[in-house]
Amino acid sequence: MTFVCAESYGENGLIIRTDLLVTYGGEEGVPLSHFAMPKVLVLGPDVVVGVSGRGIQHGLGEVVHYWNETGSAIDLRAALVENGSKHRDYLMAQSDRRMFTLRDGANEWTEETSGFAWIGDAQARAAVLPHDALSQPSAPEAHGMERAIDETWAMVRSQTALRREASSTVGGMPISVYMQRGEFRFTQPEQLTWPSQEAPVLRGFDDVHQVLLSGWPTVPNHIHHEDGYPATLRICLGGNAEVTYRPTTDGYVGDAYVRTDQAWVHVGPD
Amino acid sequence: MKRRLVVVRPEFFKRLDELLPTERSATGDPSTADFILHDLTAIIDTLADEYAERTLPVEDTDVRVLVSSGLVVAFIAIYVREVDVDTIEILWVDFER
Repeated sequence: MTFVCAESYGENGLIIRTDLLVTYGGEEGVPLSHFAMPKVLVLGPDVVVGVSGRGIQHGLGEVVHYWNETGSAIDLRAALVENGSKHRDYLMAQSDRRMFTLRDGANEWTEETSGFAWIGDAQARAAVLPHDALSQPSAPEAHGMERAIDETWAMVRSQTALRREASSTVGGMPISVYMQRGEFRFTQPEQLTWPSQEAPVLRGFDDVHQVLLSGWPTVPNHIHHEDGYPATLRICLGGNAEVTYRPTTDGYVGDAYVRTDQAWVHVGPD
Repeated sequence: MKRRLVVVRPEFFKRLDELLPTERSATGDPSTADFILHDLTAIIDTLADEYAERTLPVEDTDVRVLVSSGLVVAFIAIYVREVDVDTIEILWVDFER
């Protein structure tokens, strides 16, 4: 099992996402094993196909085989129906923003007209965030800002569904394909950012308190200093604090030292 | 490649104030300062060193997007653009915790 979804957004956007985790075995006497594999194929600038279910590597091979034989989306759909695999589901997205799914060896594809299509793990599907989960007040005026927000929101919406927490059959790094100028392309892998120094584990109030008491941070900040904003930058844990703030000459916040075992920490200019 | 200067538009901080409280809650919900201290610094380093490599282009616009995971915020979308060859500007932020 896996999770593959496609979502249209804005006036002409479309994104297809999937996870990397492949599980096999797990039956009686066969240990459960894992490996990683992308489950979407960009067959051409205008066609993307995703596969879920058992034997995904074999399913991807079949899609490539039929694509090489037929060369068209409509003929590929017909070939996969004729193939009739009951173990795998397929999702096809086209650059005209039409989306189709084929489930459980059905004898015809279903065209998804709601703007969202998916195949695979139903638990993962349930973890896709609803449309109104993020608030979007007016953004700064910048060329393309609205489009950028639409695009990333479509990406972030399915992020929780592609994590191991959503289901034991999904996980690994999310893979995305989206349209640029009417053609599908893979995005680069998303990054995980962590502070360059060893990151503290923050699960709640106590962890933050301990981190501060243990001397972390002496934080080399690179926060731009504009209109005195860092004056409002603070960590509030209650109690009293004593902080040294040392701005640098280029307008960046310098090192901020927490010098007290009290719980009030304030970082900013005097 | 030369490290670039990363500047932040005031709208970014206004947006951040809308997304997070000014003080960490008793249940451990992060504050704006938590985000700035633990996540934004790493993001700024990434933008300064790897702007083109780590951001996604947006069709026919000058805005690019860095989608990332942070320490106190699970999913972060940072909207940025290139002001000139030496400077990157952070415009806006969205995230899901």
